[in-house]
Amino acid sequence: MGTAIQILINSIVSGLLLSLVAIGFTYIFRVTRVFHLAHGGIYVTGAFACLYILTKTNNWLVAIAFAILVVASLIYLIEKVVYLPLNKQQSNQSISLIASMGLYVIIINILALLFGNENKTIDNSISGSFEFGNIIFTKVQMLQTVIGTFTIFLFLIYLKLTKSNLTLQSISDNEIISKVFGINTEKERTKIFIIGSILACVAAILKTMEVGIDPQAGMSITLTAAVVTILVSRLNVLLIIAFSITLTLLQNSIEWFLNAQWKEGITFFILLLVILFRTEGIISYNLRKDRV
Amino acid sequence: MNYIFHILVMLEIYILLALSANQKVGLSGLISLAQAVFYGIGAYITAITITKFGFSYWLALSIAILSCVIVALIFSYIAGKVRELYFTLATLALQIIFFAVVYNWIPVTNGSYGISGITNPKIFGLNINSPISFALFGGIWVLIVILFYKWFLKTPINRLIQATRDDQIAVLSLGKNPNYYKRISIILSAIIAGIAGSIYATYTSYIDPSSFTLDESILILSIVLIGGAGRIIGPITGAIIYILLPELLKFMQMPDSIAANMRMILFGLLLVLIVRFKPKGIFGKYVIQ
Repeated sequence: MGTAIQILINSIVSGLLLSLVAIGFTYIFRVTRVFHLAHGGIYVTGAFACLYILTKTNNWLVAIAFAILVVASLIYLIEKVVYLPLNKQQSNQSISLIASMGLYVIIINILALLFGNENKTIDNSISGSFEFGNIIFTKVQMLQTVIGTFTIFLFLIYLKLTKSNLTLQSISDNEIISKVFGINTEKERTKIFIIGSILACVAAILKTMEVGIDPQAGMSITLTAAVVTILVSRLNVLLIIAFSITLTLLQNSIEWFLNAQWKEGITFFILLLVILFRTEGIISYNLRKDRV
Repeated sequence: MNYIFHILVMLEIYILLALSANQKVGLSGLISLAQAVFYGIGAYITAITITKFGFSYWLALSIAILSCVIVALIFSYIAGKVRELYFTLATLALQIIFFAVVYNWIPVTNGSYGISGITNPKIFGLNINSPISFALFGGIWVLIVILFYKWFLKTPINRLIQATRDDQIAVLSLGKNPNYYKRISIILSAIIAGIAGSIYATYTSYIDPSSFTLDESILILSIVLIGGAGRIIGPITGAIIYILLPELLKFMQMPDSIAANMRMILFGLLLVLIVRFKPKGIFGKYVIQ
C-alpha cells in the first residue's frame, strides 16, 4: 500500500512537470500545426542556461530570468527564420517536422559542445524530505509541485484575461478565416511559441533540481508530451494535466513492476493504438475523414 | 589503407540505407522515422541466426530478409490506415517499440550488452574478413541495388507507386488499389535496409541496440532529404556528404572531440537550409507535399 501511494505521489509531481511541457507542445502543435520536436532542444537549453548563470552568480532569480530570456529569444529566432517562412510557403506538417528535427539536432549538439555530454547537476541547497511512515515527499518535490502549479495557474489566468483560448482555438480550426476576422495570426503564433517554451523551461529547471540535465534529456519528455498531445487532441489545459499525470502513473508503474526501459515502449504502443483506431484522440470530437 | 576501406564500407552501408529510405520517401511519399527498425532487424536476425543457430551467412540473410518483409507488412497496414503526419508518428512509435524490444528481450538479443562473435560471410569458399574484401562485398550489393533501381524506375509498377504518391484518388479511379503499391514500396525498402543491416552485423561482428535508435532513423531520413529524394543520385550524394564530412573536418585539423558534434551541427543546419530554401534537396526530383 505504501509503495502504491509513493508511486502515486511521485507520478503526480512528475506528471505536473510533464504537463508543463505537454501544454506548450499541444498549444504549439494545435495552433501552428508544427510538430515541434525542437521543443526538446528548447527544454534542455533552458536548463543549461539556468545552470550556467547559477554557477556564476549563485542567484536563482537571475538564473531563472536569464534562462527564460534565452529560450524566448531562441524560439523567437526559430519562428521568424524557419517556421513562419515555411508556413507562408504553405508547407505541410511533414516539412515543418523535418525542419524541427534539424533544429533539434543543431541545438543539442551545440549544447554538447559547450557543456559536454555528461549529466550536470545543481549543487543542491534544497535537500531533505518529509516522511509520513513509509512515504517520502522530498523538499524538491514540494518545490516542483508549488512552482509547477503556480506556473500553470499563471498560464490559465493569461488565457482567461486575454481571452486567448478562443483566439487560439480559432486559429487552430482555420488560420485563413481567423485572419479574415482580424486576428493577427503571426503575432499569436509567436506568442504561443514563446509561452510554450517558457513553460518547458520552467519544467526543465525544476527537473534539473532533482536529477540534473544532459543535452539528450529533452527528447524523451518531448516525445511523451507529444503522446499526450495526440491522446488529448484538444486545447484544454486541465485535460492535458489529467492525461500527463495518468501517463506518468502508468510509466512509473511499469518501471516499478517491469523495467524502466519498457515504459517508453508501452507508452508508444498506446500512441500507436490511438493513431490507428482513434486518430481524433481519446477525448475529442470526430475528425472529418479528409483531416485524418 | 585499411581506414580508407573502412570508410568505404560505411559509405556503402549508408548508400544502401539511403536508397531504401528513398524508396519510401522519394518514390512513395511516406515519411518514415523507423528506417532503423529494418536496419536493426536485418542486423539482429543475421547475428542471432549465425551465433545461436550456427547458420551460414546466406541462410541468415534470407531469414533476415523474410523477417523484414513480415514487419514491412505491419507498416503497410499502417500506411493504409493513416496518412502524412499520422503515418510518420506511427513509424516513430514503432521505432521506439522496436528499441524497447531489442533492449529488453535479453534472452534473445542480449539487451544492452549486444551480440558479439558474428562470423564473416563466405562467397564461393572465400572468407570475407578484411576491410578491403568487405568494401568489395558491400560494393557488389550497392551495384546490385543501383542496377535494380535503374530497371525498376522504368517499370509500370514504379509509375503506379509514384502515382499513388502524387494522387491516390487518381490511382483509385484507374481501378488500382493504392495500398497495394504502398505495400510493394515498403517491402522493397525493408529488404534493402535489411541487407544493409546484415552487412553491418557481419562487418563489425558486434551489434547492440544503440546503432538502431530513433536518432539513426532521423539521420537516414536526413541523408535522403539533403541529397534529394526521388532519384538514385540524391541518396548516394547524401550518404557521401554524411560519411565524408568528418574526414573534411579532420582535414581542417578539428579535434575528434569536437568533430563528432560539429558533423551533426553541420548536418542539422544543412537539413534546415534544404527544407527552407531547396526542398528538392541537392539532386532530388520530388518535393514532399
